[in-house]
Amino acid sequence: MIVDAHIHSGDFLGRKWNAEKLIKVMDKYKIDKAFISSEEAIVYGNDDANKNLKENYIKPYEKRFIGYCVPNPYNSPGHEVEKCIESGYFQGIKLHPWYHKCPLSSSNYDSVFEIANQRSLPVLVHSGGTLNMPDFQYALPEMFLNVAERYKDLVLIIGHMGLERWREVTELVIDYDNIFLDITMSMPEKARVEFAVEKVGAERVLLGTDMPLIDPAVSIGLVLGSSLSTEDKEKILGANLMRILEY
Amino acid sequence: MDIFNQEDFKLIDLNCYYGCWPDRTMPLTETKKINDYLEKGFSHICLASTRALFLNSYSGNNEIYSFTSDNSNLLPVVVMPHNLEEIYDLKLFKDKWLKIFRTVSINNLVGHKWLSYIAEIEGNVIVPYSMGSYNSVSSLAKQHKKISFVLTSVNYPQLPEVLALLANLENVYIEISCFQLCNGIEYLCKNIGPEKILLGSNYPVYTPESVLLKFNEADISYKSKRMIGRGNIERLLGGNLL
Repeated sequence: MIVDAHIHSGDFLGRKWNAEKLIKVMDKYKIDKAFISSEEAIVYGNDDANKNLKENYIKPYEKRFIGYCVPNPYNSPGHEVEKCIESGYFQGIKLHPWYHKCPLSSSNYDSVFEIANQRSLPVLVHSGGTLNMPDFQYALPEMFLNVAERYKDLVLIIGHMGLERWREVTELVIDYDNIFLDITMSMPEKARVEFAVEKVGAERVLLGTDMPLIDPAVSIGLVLGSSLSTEDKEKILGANLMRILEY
Repeated sequence: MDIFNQEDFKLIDLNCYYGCWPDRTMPLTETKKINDYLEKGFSHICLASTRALFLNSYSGNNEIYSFTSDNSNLLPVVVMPHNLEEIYDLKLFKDKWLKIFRTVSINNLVGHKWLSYIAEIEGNVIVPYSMGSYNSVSSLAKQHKKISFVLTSVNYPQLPEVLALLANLENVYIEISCFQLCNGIEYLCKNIGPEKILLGSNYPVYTPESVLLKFNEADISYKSKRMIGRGNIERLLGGNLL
């Protein structure tokens, strides 16, 4: 079974997307389920963005999509997460500290982490890799470690595993069992996924694709083309997320 | 899931490297590794020397010439000198069919003597687009219509300008190892046509399975796949390689 930890709703680069088009791509690559977050919520922080995602994507195709609730850290984020979870269509949270201009170290996220910690919900956080780029500055590696230390039952997923700083980020999280690495990236460097498995174990590495921006072949090919065992590949491609969701 | 399942034709990989990369140890320098790579579905691999790219073009080009000279599955890619004032005799390599060149930086290529030679043999220049710009590529392609310029290192952020180059200039092509847009091969086929698209993997920096899977699953005609995976590169090299 293939489960994708990282896809989006919404249009990209002027190309129109909808649930049916996403499912067509998922079928092409045999992706059974995908965690989806609203680009509208990430980029604009709209009040109705999570609801729109639920109505247009998750509710009509609940066997294919699992919702990430994207709270606006400046607008009652805990309340928004509660509302999403109560709807029954969201089983995770996505944070984008850079786009929301709110560093991961901010106390604005405390209510979100507390809910996620209580309910063992996966929290995917965008990370960057270039020192002078804002996406790196808003989610520094030590901020992830701090969150993981404060909330022991949290499933904290580092989106893009630190981009080009993947070696450093992977080394830093070795002793943090509640931190997972999402392999989503444009650059399918073979060593990346093998290094991650060697350092933190296959149980903490997750497939992510960033569809519909990036083609899923990039990440799936990276896993299939690695020298990992079939068992480890299966864990990364879906078994880990199914375990996290307790399916 | 099949990575590549076209049984009736073999692929040509336009973009591979021989040697090591800085901060990485993944050499494609042994015959066994080359043979393993070919078994993924390729008949030919175009190889550029990383020594030529990063250190010394003359010794690196000699190295790749020597390595490829007794294996007909390997095609050498000549790296143009870092210092473009450095001219050396390309006839050193005259025994091997040389049609592919790679530039490190495009912006100061205009008027360079190598281009006259490449134009004379109707050769091809691989251009890392990250090192260039719309204006530099456009200017060179207009000035040297007998040279085919293949843009590599192109991803979705460069899409608008690269689409314009591909649409407006007959002698500009794209190599797809870094082009990661979702359904990107289909998008390029629809917007600029399959005849402008070339298969490359960026191996061993990137794992080839990513581009092979994308290529295999692309919702395009068999004819288009054959052009992208083989026919277009053969045409640029001047004929059937088998």
